Amino acid sequence: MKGLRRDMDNPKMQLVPMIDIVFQLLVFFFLGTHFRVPEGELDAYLPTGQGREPGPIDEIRVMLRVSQAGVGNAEVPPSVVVDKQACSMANLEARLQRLASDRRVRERVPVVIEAEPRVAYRWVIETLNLCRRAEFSKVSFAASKRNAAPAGGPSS
Amino acid sequence: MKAAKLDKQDTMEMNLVPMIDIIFNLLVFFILSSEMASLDHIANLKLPMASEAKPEDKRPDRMVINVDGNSNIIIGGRTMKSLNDLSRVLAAAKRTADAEQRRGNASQPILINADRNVPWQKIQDIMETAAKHKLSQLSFATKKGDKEE
Repeated sequence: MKGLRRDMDNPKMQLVPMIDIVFQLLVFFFLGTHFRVPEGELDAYLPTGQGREPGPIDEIRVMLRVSQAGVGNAEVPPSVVVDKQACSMANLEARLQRLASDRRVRERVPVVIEAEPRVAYRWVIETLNLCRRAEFSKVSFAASKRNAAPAGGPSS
Repeated sequence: MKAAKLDKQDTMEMNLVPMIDIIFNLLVFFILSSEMASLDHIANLKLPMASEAKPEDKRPDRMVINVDGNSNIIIGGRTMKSLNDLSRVLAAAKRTADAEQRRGNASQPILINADRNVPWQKIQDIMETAAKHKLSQLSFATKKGDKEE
Protein backbone atom coordinates (compact mmCIF):
# COMPACT_ATOMS: atom_id res chain seq x y z
CA MET A 1 0.00 0.00 0.00
CA LYS A 2 2.83 2.30 0.93
CA GLY A 3 4.70 1.38 -2.25
CA LEU A 4 1.67 2.16 -4.39
CA ARG A 5 1.31 5.60 -2.88
CA ARG A 6 4.99 6.33 -3.60
CA ASP A 7 4.42 5.30 -7.23
CA MET A 8 1.50 7.67 -7.54
CA ASP A 9 3.61 10.47 -6.15
CA ASN A 10 6.13 10.04 -8.99
CA PRO A 11 4.04 9.30 -12.06
CA LYS A 12 6.13 8.65 -15.17
CA MET A 13 5.12 8.95 -18.77
CA GLN A 14 5.43 5.66 -20.62
CA LEU A 15 7.62 6.70 -23.51
CA VAL A 16 8.34 3.27 -24.94
CA PRO A 17 5.01 2.76 -26.81
CA MET A 18 5.21 6.28 -28.24
CA ILE A 19 8.76 5.69 -29.44
CA ASP A 20 7.63 2.42 -31.00
CA ILE A 21 4.88 4.12 -32.95
CA VAL A 22 7.07 7.03 -33.98
CA PHE A 23 9.72 4.62 -35.21
CA GLN A 24 7.10 2.73 -37.19
CA LEU A 25 5.95 5.97 -38.81
CA LEU A 26 9.53 6.95 -39.50
CA VAL A 27 10.29 3.65 -41.18
CA PHE A 28 7.06 3.94 -43.23
CA PHE A 29 7.94 7.40 -44.53
CA PHE A 30 11.58 6.46 -44.99
CA LEU A 31 10.68 3.52 -47.21
CA GLY A 32 7.67 5.13 -48.84
CA THR A 33 9.28 8.37 -49.87
CA HIS A 34 10.75 8.64 -53.29
CA PHE A 35 11.99 12.02 -54.28
CA ARG A 36 10.67 13.20 -57.60
CA VAL A 37 13.05 14.31 -60.28
CA PRO A 38 11.95 17.78 -61.38
CA GLU A 39 9.66 17.51 -64.37
CA GLY A 40 8.93 20.09 -67.00
CA GLU A 41 6.41 20.68 -69.73
CA LEU A 42 6.46 21.67 -73.35
CA ASP A 43 3.26 23.47 -74.26
CA ALA A 44 1.27 22.85 -77.40
CA TYR A 45 -2.03 24.26 -78.57
CA LEU A 46 -4.40 22.18 -80.60
CA PRO A 47 -6.42 23.78 -83.37
CA THR A 48 -10.12 23.95 -82.68
CA GLY A 49 -11.14 24.29 -86.32
CA GLN A 50 -10.27 22.29 -89.41
CA GLY A 51 -6.69 22.04 -90.52
CA ARG A 52 -5.52 23.36 -93.84
CA GLU A 53 -4.01 21.75 -96.90
CA PRO A 54 -0.32 22.49 -97.31
CA GLY A 55 -0.54 25.68 -99.28
CA PRO A 56 1.71 28.25 -100.81
CA ILE A 57 2.71 29.60 -97.39
CA ASP A 58 6.37 29.19 -96.77
CA GLU A 59 7.10 26.67 -94.08
CA ILE A 60 10.00 24.67 -92.80
CA ARG A 61 8.97 21.02 -92.85
CA VAL A 62 10.94 18.68 -90.59
CA MET A 63 10.18 15.08 -91.54
CA LEU A 64 11.10 12.23 -89.22
CA ARG A 65 11.23 8.75 -90.75
CA VAL A 66 12.09 5.47 -89.09
CA SER A 67 15.48 4.40 -90.40
CA GLN A 68 16.11 0.77 -91.34
CA ALA A 69 18.11 0.19 -88.19
CA GLY A 70 15.40 1.83 -86.17
CA VAL A 71 12.59 -0.60 -87.00
CA GLY A 72 11.46 -1.94 -83.62
CA ASN A 73 14.22 -0.08 -81.80
CA ALA A 74 13.18 3.26 -80.32
CA GLU A 75 16.72 4.07 -79.29
CA VAL A 76 17.90 4.50 -82.88
CA PRO A 77 17.38 8.07 -84.11
CA PRO A 78 15.11 8.46 -87.11
CA SER A 79 16.29 9.81 -90.43
CA VAL A 80 15.50 13.48 -90.80
CA VAL A 81 14.61 15.60 -93.81
CA VAL A 82 14.55 19.36 -93.36
CA ASP A 83 13.19 21.35 -96.25
CA LYS A 84 13.62 18.38 -98.59
CA GLN A 85 17.28 18.01 -97.62
CA ALA A 86 18.48 14.94 -95.74
CA CYS A 87 19.84 15.62 -92.31
CA SER A 88 20.34 13.64 -89.10
CA MET A 89 19.22 14.04 -85.49
CA ALA A 90 22.84 14.85 -84.61
CA ASN A 91 23.06 17.85 -86.90
CA LEU A 92 19.39 18.90 -86.79
CA GLU A 93 20.13 21.50 -84.15
CA ALA A 94 22.83 23.16 -86.25
CA ARG A 95 20.46 23.12 -89.24
CA LEU A 96 17.61 24.72 -87.30
CA GLN A 97 19.92 27.27 -85.72
CA ARG A 98 21.17 28.25 -89.16
CA LEU A 99 17.60 28.71 -90.42
CA ALA A 100 16.64 30.62 -87.28
CA SER A 101 19.57 33.00 -87.55
CA ASP A 102 17.32 35.17 -89.74
CA ARG A 103 14.94 36.90 -87.32
CA ARG A 104 12.14 37.18 -89.90
CA VAL A 105 12.26 33.44 -90.58
CA ARG A 106 12.37 32.70 -86.86
CA GLU A 107 9.33 34.83 -86.13
CA ARG A 108 7.15 34.34 -89.19
CA VAL A 109 7.86 31.03 -90.87
CA PRO A 110 6.14 28.08 -89.24
CA VAL A 111 8.04 24.88 -88.59
CA VAL A 112 5.93 21.78 -89.22
CA ILE A 113 7.08 18.56 -87.60
CA GLU A 114 5.85 15.62 -89.63
CA ALA A 115 6.73 12.36 -87.94
CA GLU A 116 6.02 8.90 -89.27
CA PRO A 117 3.57 7.10 -86.94
CA ARG A 118 6.20 4.51 -85.92
CA VAL A 119 8.76 7.10 -84.82
CA ALA A 120 9.29 7.03 -81.06
CA TYR A 121 7.69 9.93 -79.18
CA ARG A 122 11.06 10.93 -77.70
CA TRP A 123 12.40 11.97 -81.13
CA VAL A 124 9.40 14.21 -81.80
CA ILE A 125 9.86 15.86 -78.40
CA GLU A 126 13.58 16.18 -79.12
CA THR A 127 12.75 17.94 -82.40
CA LEU A 128 10.23 20.22 -80.67
CA ASN A 129 12.84 20.98 -78.03
CA LEU A 130 15.41 21.90 -80.69
CA CYS A 131 12.85 24.19 -82.39
CA ARG A 132 12.29 25.89 -79.02
CA ARG A 133 16.02 26.24 -78.50
CA ALA A 134 16.36 27.83 -81.93
CA GLU A 135 13.57 30.23 -80.83
CA PHE A 136 11.14 29.49 -83.63
CA SER A 137 7.86 31.07 -82.59
CA LYS A 138 5.52 28.91 -84.68
CA VAL A 139 5.94 25.16 -84.40
CA SER A 140 3.19 22.76 -85.38
CA PHE A 141 2.69 19.06 -85.93
CA ALA A 142 1.36 17.63 -89.17
CA ALA A 143 -1.82 15.66 -88.63
CA SER A 144 -1.83 11.98 -89.50
CA LYS A 145 -2.78 11.17 -93.07
CA ARG A 146 -5.30 8.46 -92.19
CA ASN A 147 -7.61 11.04 -90.59
CA ALA A 148 -9.64 13.42 -92.63
CA ALA A 149 -8.08 16.50 -90.99
CA PRO A 150 -5.35 17.63 -93.35
CA ALA A 151 -1.98 19.13 -92.50
CA GLY A 152 -1.51 22.08 -90.22
CA GLY A 153 -2.26 20.14 -87.07
CA PRO A 154 -1.51 20.96 -83.48
CA SER A 155 0.87 23.80 -82.90
CA SER A 156 3.06 24.72 -79.99
CA MET B 1 28.42 6.77 1.12
CA LYS B 2 27.39 3.34 0.01
CA ALA B 3 23.75 4.32 0.18
CA ALA B 4 24.30 7.44 -1.95
CA LYS B 5 26.06 5.47 -4.69
CA LEU B 6 23.32 2.89 -4.67
CA ASP B 7 20.69 5.61 -4.95
CA LYS B 8 22.36 7.20 -7.97
CA GLN B 9 22.73 3.87 -9.73
CA ASP B 10 19.13 2.99 -9.04
CA THR B 11 17.74 6.20 -10.53
CA MET B 12 20.07 6.36 -13.55
CA GLU B 13 17.96 6.65 -16.68
CA MET B 14 18.65 7.14 -20.35
CA ASN B 15 17.88 10.66 -21.43
CA LEU B 16 15.34 10.05 -24.17
CA VAL B 17 14.32 13.64 -24.86
CA PRO B 18 17.06 14.53 -27.43
CA MET B 19 16.45 11.26 -29.26
CA ILE B 20 12.71 11.94 -29.40
CA ASP B 21 13.44 15.46 -30.66
CA ILE B 22 15.55 14.14 -33.50
CA ILE B 23 13.07 11.42 -34.41
CA PHE B 24 10.22 13.94 -34.49
CA ASN B 25 12.27 16.23 -36.71
CA LEU B 26 12.97 13.38 -39.12
CA LEU B 27 9.31 12.42 -39.07
CA VAL B 28 8.17 15.95 -39.88
CA PHE B 29 10.74 16.15 -42.68
CA PHE B 30 9.51 12.96 -44.31
CA ILE B 31 5.84 13.85 -43.89
CA LEU B 32 6.36 17.23 -45.52
CA SER B 33 8.67 16.12 -48.31
CA SER B 34 6.99 12.90 -49.36
CA GLU B 35 4.48 13.07 -52.15
CA MET B 36 2.06 10.23 -51.98
CA ALA B 37 1.49 8.32 -55.17
CA SER B 38 -1.48 9.77 -56.96
CA LEU B 39 -3.78 8.11 -59.42
CA ASP B 40 -3.16 10.90 -61.89
CA HIS B 41 0.48 10.27 -62.62
CA ILE B 42 1.89 6.87 -63.42
CA ALA B 43 5.22 6.51 -61.71
CA ASN B 44 8.18 4.80 -63.38
CA LEU B 45 7.52 6.24 -66.80
CA LYS B 46 10.59 7.08 -68.78
CA LEU B 47 9.78 10.60 -69.88
CA PRO B 48 11.52 12.21 -72.85
CA MET B 49 14.18 14.78 -72.05
CA ALA B 50 13.76 18.45 -72.95
CA SER B 51 16.12 21.17 -71.86
CA GLU B 52 13.75 23.95 -72.94
CA ALA B 53 10.79 22.72 -70.88
CA LYS B 54 9.19 25.13 -68.47
CA PRO B 55 8.61 24.12 -64.85
CA GLU B 56 5.68 21.80 -64.24
CA ASP B 57 2.36 23.56 -63.73
CA LYS B 58 0.47 21.69 -61.04
CA ARG B 59 -3.04 22.96 -61.68
CA PRO B 60 -5.48 20.76 -59.80
CA ASP B 61 -8.03 20.83 -62.63
CA ARG B 62 -5.54 19.59 -65.19
CA MET B 63 -6.29 16.25 -66.84
CA VAL B 64 -3.31 13.91 -67.05
CA ILE B 65 -3.35 11.41 -69.91
CA ASN B 66 -0.76 8.74 -69.25
CA VAL B 67 0.64 6.46 -71.93
CA ASP B 68 2.71 3.62 -70.53
CA GLY B 69 5.51 1.68 -72.21
CA ASN B 70 2.98 -0.74 -73.71
CA SER B 71 1.05 2.14 -75.31
CA ASN B 72 -1.89 1.80 -72.92
CA ILE B 73 -3.75 5.06 -72.39
CA ILE B 74 -4.51 5.50 -68.68
CA ILE B 75 -6.56 8.31 -67.15
CA GLY B 76 -7.13 8.51 -63.40
CA GLY B 77 -6.03 4.90 -62.96
CA ARG B 78 -8.44 3.63 -65.65
CA THR B 79 -7.09 2.05 -68.80
CA MET B 80 -8.84 3.19 -71.96
CA LYS B 81 -9.77 0.15 -74.02
CA SER B 82 -10.14 2.08 -77.25
CA LEU B 83 -10.03 5.56 -78.68
CA ASN B 84 -13.82 5.66 -78.25
CA ASP B 85 -13.32 5.32 -74.49
CA LEU B 86 -10.84 8.18 -74.60
CA SER B 87 -13.25 10.21 -76.69
CA ARG B 88 -16.02 9.70 -74.12
CA VAL B 89 -13.74 10.79 -71.24
CA LEU B 90 -12.59 13.85 -73.17
CA ALA B 91 -16.18 14.73 -74.11
CA ALA B 92 -17.11 14.64 -70.40
CA ALA B 93 -14.06 16.77 -69.60
CA LYS B 94 -15.09 19.25 -72.26
CA ARG B 95 -18.61 19.52 -70.82
CA THR B 96 -17.16 20.19 -67.34
CA ALA B 97 -14.68 22.69 -68.80
CA ASP B 98 -17.48 24.52 -70.62
CA ALA B 99 -19.49 24.75 -67.41
CA GLU B 100 -16.43 26.05 -65.59
CA GLN B 101 -15.78 28.57 -68.35
CA ARG B 102 -19.31 29.89 -68.03
CA ARG B 103 -18.43 30.51 -64.39
CA GLY B 104 -15.36 32.42 -65.57
CA ASN B 105 -12.74 29.75 -64.98
CA ALA B 106 -9.99 28.87 -67.45
CA SER B 107 -10.27 26.12 -70.05
CA GLN B 108 -9.38 22.49 -69.36
CA PRO B 109 -5.62 21.91 -69.70
CA ILE B 110 -4.34 18.47 -70.66
CA LEU B 111 -0.96 17.00 -69.86
CA ILE B 112 0.30 14.08 -71.94
CA ASN B 113 2.50 12.04 -69.64
CA ALA B 114 3.88 9.42 -72.00
CA ASP B 115 6.74 6.99 -72.02
CA ARG B 116 9.44 8.20 -74.37
CA ASN B 117 9.46 5.03 -76.44
CA VAL B 118 5.79 4.88 -77.41
CA PRO B 119 5.10 5.32 -81.12
CA TRP B 120 4.18 8.85 -82.16
CA GLN B 121 0.95 7.45 -83.61
CA LYS B 122 -0.43 6.96 -80.09
CA ILE B 123 0.25 10.57 -79.12
CA GLN B 124 -1.14 11.78 -82.41
CA ASP B 125 -4.35 9.80 -81.75
CA ILE B 126 -4.69 11.48 -78.33
CA MET B 127 -4.04 14.93 -79.78
CA GLU B 128 -6.52 14.45 -82.57
CA THR B 129 -9.19 13.15 -80.20
CA ALA B 130 -8.61 16.17 -77.92
CA ALA B 131 -8.75 18.53 -80.90
CA LYS B 132 -12.03 16.91 -82.00
CA HIS B 133 -13.54 17.91 -78.65
CA LYS B 134 -12.02 21.38 -78.94
CA LEU B 135 -9.71 20.83 -75.99
CA SER B 136 -6.82 22.91 -77.19
CA GLN B 137 -4.59 23.53 -74.20
CA LEU B 138 -2.10 20.73 -74.19
CA SER B 139 1.38 20.10 -72.87
CA PHE B 140 3.88 17.26 -72.89
CA ALA B 141 5.47 16.06 -69.67
CA THR B 142 9.23 15.90 -69.99
CA LYS B 143 12.20 15.47 -67.77
CA LYS B 144 14.41 18.50 -67.53
CA GLY B 145 17.84 18.03 -68.99
CA ASP B 146 19.82 17.12 -72.07
CA LYS B 147 21.20 13.69 -71.42
CA GLU B 148 19.10 10.61 -70.93
CA GLU B 149 20.01 8.41 -68.01
